[in-house]
Amino acid sequence: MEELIKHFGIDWKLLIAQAINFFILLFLLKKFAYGPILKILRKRKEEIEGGLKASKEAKERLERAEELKEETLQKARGEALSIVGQAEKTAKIRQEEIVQGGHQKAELIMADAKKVIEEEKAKMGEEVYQNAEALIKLGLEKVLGRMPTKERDEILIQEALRELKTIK
Amino acid sequence: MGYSPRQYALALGAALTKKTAEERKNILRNFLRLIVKNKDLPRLNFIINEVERDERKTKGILKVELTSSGKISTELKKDVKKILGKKILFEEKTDPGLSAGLKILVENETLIDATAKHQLDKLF
Repeated sequence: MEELIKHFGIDWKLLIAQAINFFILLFLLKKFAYGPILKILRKRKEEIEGGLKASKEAKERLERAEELKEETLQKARGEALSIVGQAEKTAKIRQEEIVQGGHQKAELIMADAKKVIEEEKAKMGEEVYQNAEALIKLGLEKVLGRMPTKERDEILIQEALRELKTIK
Repeated sequence: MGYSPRQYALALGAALTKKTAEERKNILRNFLRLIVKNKDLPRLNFIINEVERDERKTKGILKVELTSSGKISTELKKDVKKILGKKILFEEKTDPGLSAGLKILVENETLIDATAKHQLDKLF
C-alpha cells in the first residue's frame, strides 16, 4: 500500500492542506455564493409557484364567475320569461275583462238609447196627436165661424132649452 | 171653526127681517166687523151672492145668466122665461170664444153648456 501511495506520488501533508483548502473554499462558497443564490432561486421559485397558484385560483375564480354569470343570466332569463308570460297572461285577462266590460257598457248604452228613442217616439206621437187635435178643432171652429149665425146657433140653442126643461 | 157663506147669509137675513132702516144700518156695520174679525173678508162676494139669492127666492125671482158668442135674442129670453115659469133676472154675457150655441147658468148652481166650444172640447 505504501508502495502504491509512493508510486502515485501522494504527499499526505499536501493532501491534508489541499483538503483544508477545499473545505475552506467550500465553506466560503456556500456562505457567500451558493447560499444567497439558492436562497434567491428558492424565493423566486416560491414566487413563481405563488404566481402560478394565484393565476390558477384567478382562473378558477374567473371560471366560477363565468359559471355564476351564466347561471345568473339563465335564472334572469327564466325569471324574465316568467314575468313576460305572467304579464301576457294578465294582459290577456285584462283585455278580456275590458272587452267584456265594453260589451256590457255598449249593451247598457244601447238599452238606454232604445229607451230614449221609444220615449221620444211616444212623445212625438203624443205631440202629433195633440197637434192634429188642435188643428181639427181649429178647423171646425173656423167652419162654424163661417156659418150663418142663425143656422149655427139654432140647433145648439134648442138643445140648451130642451135640457133646461129637464132641470125645471 | 169658521162659517160658510151660506151660514153668514142665513144669519144676516134673519137679523135684518122686520127691522127699521137705522137698525139695519147698525146690523150691517156689526156684520162687516164680524167678517173682518173672522178674517172672512175675501169671501164677502160669496156671502153677498148668497144674500141676494135668498132675497130673490123670497121674491120668487130666478137669476139666469145667458152666455153666447153673439147677441142674445128677445125670443130666446122669452123661451127661457116660459120654460122656467117664474120672474127671471137675466144677466147677458158675450164670449166669441164659444163659437156657437148657448150657455145657461141658473142661480150660479145649474149650468147648461150647449156651446160649440163645449161640444168640441168633449170630442177632443
